[in-house]
Amino acid sequence: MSEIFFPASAQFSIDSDDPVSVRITVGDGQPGGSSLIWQDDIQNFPPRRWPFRLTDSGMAILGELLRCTTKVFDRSATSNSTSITITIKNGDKVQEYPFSAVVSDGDSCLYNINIAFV
Amino acid sequence: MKRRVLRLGIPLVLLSAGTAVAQSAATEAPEISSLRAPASPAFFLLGASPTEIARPQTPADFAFAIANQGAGLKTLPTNLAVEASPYWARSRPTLTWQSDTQRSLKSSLARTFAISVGTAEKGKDSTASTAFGVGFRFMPISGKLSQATIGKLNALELAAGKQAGIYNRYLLEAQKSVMARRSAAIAACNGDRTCIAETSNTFAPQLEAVAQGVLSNPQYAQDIKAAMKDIESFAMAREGLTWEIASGATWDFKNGAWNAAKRGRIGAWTTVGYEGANLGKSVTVSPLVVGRYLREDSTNTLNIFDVGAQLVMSSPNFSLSAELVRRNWSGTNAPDAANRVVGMGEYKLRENAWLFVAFGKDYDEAAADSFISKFGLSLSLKKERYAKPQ
Repeated sequence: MSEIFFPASAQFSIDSDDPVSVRITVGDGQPGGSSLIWQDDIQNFPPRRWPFRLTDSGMAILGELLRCTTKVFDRSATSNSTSITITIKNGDKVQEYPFSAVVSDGDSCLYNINIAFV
Repeated sequence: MKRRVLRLGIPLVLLSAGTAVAQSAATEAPEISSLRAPASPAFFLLGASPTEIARPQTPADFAFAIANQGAGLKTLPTNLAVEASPYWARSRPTLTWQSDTQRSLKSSLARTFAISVGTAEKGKDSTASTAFGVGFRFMPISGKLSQATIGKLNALELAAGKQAGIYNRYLLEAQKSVMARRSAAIAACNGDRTCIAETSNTFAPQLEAVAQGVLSNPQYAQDIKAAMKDIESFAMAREGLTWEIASGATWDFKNGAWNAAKRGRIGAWTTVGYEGANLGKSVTVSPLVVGRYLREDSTNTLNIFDVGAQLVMSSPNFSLSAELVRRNWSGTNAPDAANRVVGMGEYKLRENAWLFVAFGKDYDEAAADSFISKFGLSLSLKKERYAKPQ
């Protein structure tokens, strides 16, 4: 059993002082779990449930970095594709960051995505 | 984790009762799932068992797989074996397994539709020909994820979250110095958002390099190895009512010549079954009804229509099955309808070793070996003994 490592970086532009939350969706019908590093705290999902509120004040997190790690296992009988979508919400603004990788039968993919708030 | 379609079982027939003649080593125990529509109709009708089936993940891969085998499509490829599912050829980032536990008619059709394309070499020298086959299958009803599978998936997600957390624990420590430098640089921007964006871009590659480096930390590798002991290898199993339809056809190209093409075989299957009905704690009962049509143009002009039923009782240690198929022929000099009746039992001796016994009669009662009687040992290396529809 081997694993693909998928690092990536992205930016989210804060538009308002509204609350900011994050949700990670594991797609292609595969099972997966996530962990966030936010302001030096680690949060695991599950057992925590989405969405996760990062702040009540969007402007207060300018320059902060959200570090998302998601491990996806290939258990689908019909596809070897793994994918995640990180959704950031700031008030009415919603932005999605999709990532995908094809793995071998029964293998896994470890996504490590950094999102900077700018 | 795609379902394997190749049969890897190695049956060893030890003794044949009734005929009192030792069966050849090539004789196999009757397949428990033989009445099911074939997973790849093209290969079934070609009579081919390709050692490797290409399963392209994108339309471009599909085109490449065919062009790569056929010298840019200037000639008919001789060892082509491609299976593709259009729905899964596109990335589905929003399709969670939770949303696939039950399927509507539309989603079941889309998610199970698959095309198979293959070629096989037939005959030698003057009778040599290349056979080309194409087929498809789909399931208007494809059951639902079993409760056992849902339980395994929930446990796996918890374990995956835990492993991601282990990684982040090491990442937090490894990125400390880069993050400190990044924080200082961001602070120096004094709220200038352009500066913050550029600084974030500057530090992104350094953070990614450190993230990659965590994987080679021996202590991390040890922690993940320990955590992987909780990870179960399984394929998602669906249960409940299923309805499957498959069809395909083959053509023979004598000496590979296009204008010498003749249709070889045509076949169509429809099966309705139920998976996962329990009888007690560990015994499952799977009834199946089948209708199928077969025509072999190369040897005769008869049409074959089969209607049959099968009942399988299986547990981790034994299985019992019974099947009845009524065959009708149509065409010139068509014989009378005939029945095939087979009962089979298997008992697990040890991992991958099953003792089997089968009795019954084939369609043509007057033909040699129409009395089916087999007793032997089946060494099965395949992961799933009873292939269930997906």
